[in-house]
Amino acid sequence: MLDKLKIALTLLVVGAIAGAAIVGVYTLTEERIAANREEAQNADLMAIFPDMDISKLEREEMDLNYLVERMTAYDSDGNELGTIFRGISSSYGGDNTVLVGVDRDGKIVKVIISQTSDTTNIVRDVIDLLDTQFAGKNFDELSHDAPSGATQSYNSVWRVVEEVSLQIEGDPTQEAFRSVFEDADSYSVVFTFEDKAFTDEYVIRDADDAVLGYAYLIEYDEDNEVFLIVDKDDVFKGFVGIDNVDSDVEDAIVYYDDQIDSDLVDIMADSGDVLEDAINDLQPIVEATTRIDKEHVVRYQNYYDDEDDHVGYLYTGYSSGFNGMNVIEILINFDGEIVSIEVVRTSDTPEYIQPDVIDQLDNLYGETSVDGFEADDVFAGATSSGRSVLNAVGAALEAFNERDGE
Amino acid sequence: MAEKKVAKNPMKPKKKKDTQWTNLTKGFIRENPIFVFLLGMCPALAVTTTMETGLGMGLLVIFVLTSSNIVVSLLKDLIPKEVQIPAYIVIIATFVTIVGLLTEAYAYELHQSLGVFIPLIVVNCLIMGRATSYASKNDVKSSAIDGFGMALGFTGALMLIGVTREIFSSGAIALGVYLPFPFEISIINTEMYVFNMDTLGGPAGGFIVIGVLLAIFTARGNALKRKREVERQAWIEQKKKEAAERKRKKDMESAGDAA
Repeated sequence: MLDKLKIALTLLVVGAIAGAAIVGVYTLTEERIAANREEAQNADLMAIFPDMDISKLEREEMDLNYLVERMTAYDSDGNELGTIFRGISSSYGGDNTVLVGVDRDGKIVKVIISQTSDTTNIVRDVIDLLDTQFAGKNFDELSHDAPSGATQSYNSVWRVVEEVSLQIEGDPTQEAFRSVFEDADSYSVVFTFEDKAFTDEYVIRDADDAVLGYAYLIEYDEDNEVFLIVDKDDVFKGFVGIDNVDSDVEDAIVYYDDQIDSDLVDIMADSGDVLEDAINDLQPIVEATTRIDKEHVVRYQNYYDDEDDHVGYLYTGYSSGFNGMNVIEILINFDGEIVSIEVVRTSDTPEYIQPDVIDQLDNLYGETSVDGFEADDVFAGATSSGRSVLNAVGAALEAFNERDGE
Repeated sequence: MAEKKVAKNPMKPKKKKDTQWTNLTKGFIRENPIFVFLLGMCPALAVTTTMETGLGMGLLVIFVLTSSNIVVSLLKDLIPKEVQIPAYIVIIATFVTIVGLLTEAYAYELHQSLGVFIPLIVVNCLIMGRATSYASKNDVKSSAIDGFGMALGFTGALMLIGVTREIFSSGAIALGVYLPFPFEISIINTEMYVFNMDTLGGPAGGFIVIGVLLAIFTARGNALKRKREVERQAWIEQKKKEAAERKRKKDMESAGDAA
């Protein structure tokens, strides 16, 4: 007993002395460390605007993909010198903090990597390029030219500069979305499709982060990019061209204007060949709309439980049933298992789909694939409706696995 | 008659004229932590992109290793065996925290450059190894000298790796970039493209350079062993000849006496 007490006492004394020593050194160095940190930050800011009066700096937090802070710089007389953006972007070694200074004419003054986790020599290759590639240039003069062997470090800087460019020059995509949703405040790509007429699916949110709708990017050709936009209830809100839209595409946009505010699912059900015949020149757009029917398109969003924990992804799938389009929501956890399936909209006969399909969905819960399931067996009595659900669930699992593979 | 050169006995232990001097210098080459014992390889790979960062890490290790050896030696009789390891870890971690704070206060650039590798000194095998194998069994003076000498050897090795990597990756050796020297100069600048081997500045370069240097050290060790073996064989041969000569003389004397 005495031995154990001695052991405990020894550790206690060693720990106490160690703690006291650390506290002592910390007290001695605290002020100097704080001063060093502030000096390092200020030195970076002063390198951008040497005439800046640090005490007059106005700071504003930002919450974008990369930009976290916007600082307006003034000289000692209170004249505005320009803006400094602070952005954080990941590279191979961790996060890089990048400062981008822009003068009042919208020209880049300087780009600085103020903090990095990458290897010093590699970052130095990028730092050597910053002045020649960015300083003194307008945003439309920039070109992506990564140094060999330092691509990831360079790209982390480029992403921040690109986002600053959107702040300064305006974001044509954002403007396009705002022409449909006045409250559009942010957007992000939620899904990228392969081998379809539309490539990316964007989610559009308001300032409170509420989903306003979705946009599908159609790269009509090299010069034409068009978004098909629906609101959060899948009501078609039209096409919006953002870049050099030519007259043919404009014709199509006008044509589809008649369909605005119609349910997208109804448009899909009604249009089909009619649209294809009417506008031969706009095959990609027609394909985009008709593909939604053919390919069981799924979109996904992060799913949070009641305690705000991120527990999985909620996929929305579209698939033709007995009478028309079914819309099905599939919740998949991080292990790729089906957690729940809900038929949120259906045109199929309620007397059949409820007992024969909806009540049988829990047979699929916990599964990671629907390959072994046949609609005839699982949903006997409402085979068409059941097959439509299986198709949508299969597409969602496939989308999950593709995403997981990335 | 010219004096005949007699080979020294290579098997006879050398007389240690100054044990503390030997204690200090053993870590330089003979027991070098990196090139002989392969201890502390993590910082040896990670912070030797330049000579100066290697030197900076070495200076921190000199402080931590010498201090921890002194304290461990002082407390060796007071700490029960059951809790020696945790107590040593606390002692080492304390010095590492202190050195981290001091570096951030007085050598901020070095602190930024070494980053996570400063707290990682806690788990440097060299420091715990010297605490358990030497400081916990020897007096304070010897432990301090041992720690200082081993850390010097560690620093030298880091600098050698750093010099090699820096000169081959950038063609120059910079000083004053990370350490608080009152100057910032490039002491060697080859301006030769042949030295512009970026790979050696990257993670793979650390493995390559350490591998090559290890091979050189091992080759040198093997050469010394071979040399000693040759000397030993020569000494044995000479002793055999001397014995034969003595026997021949003795036989002749016996024959003379008989005659």
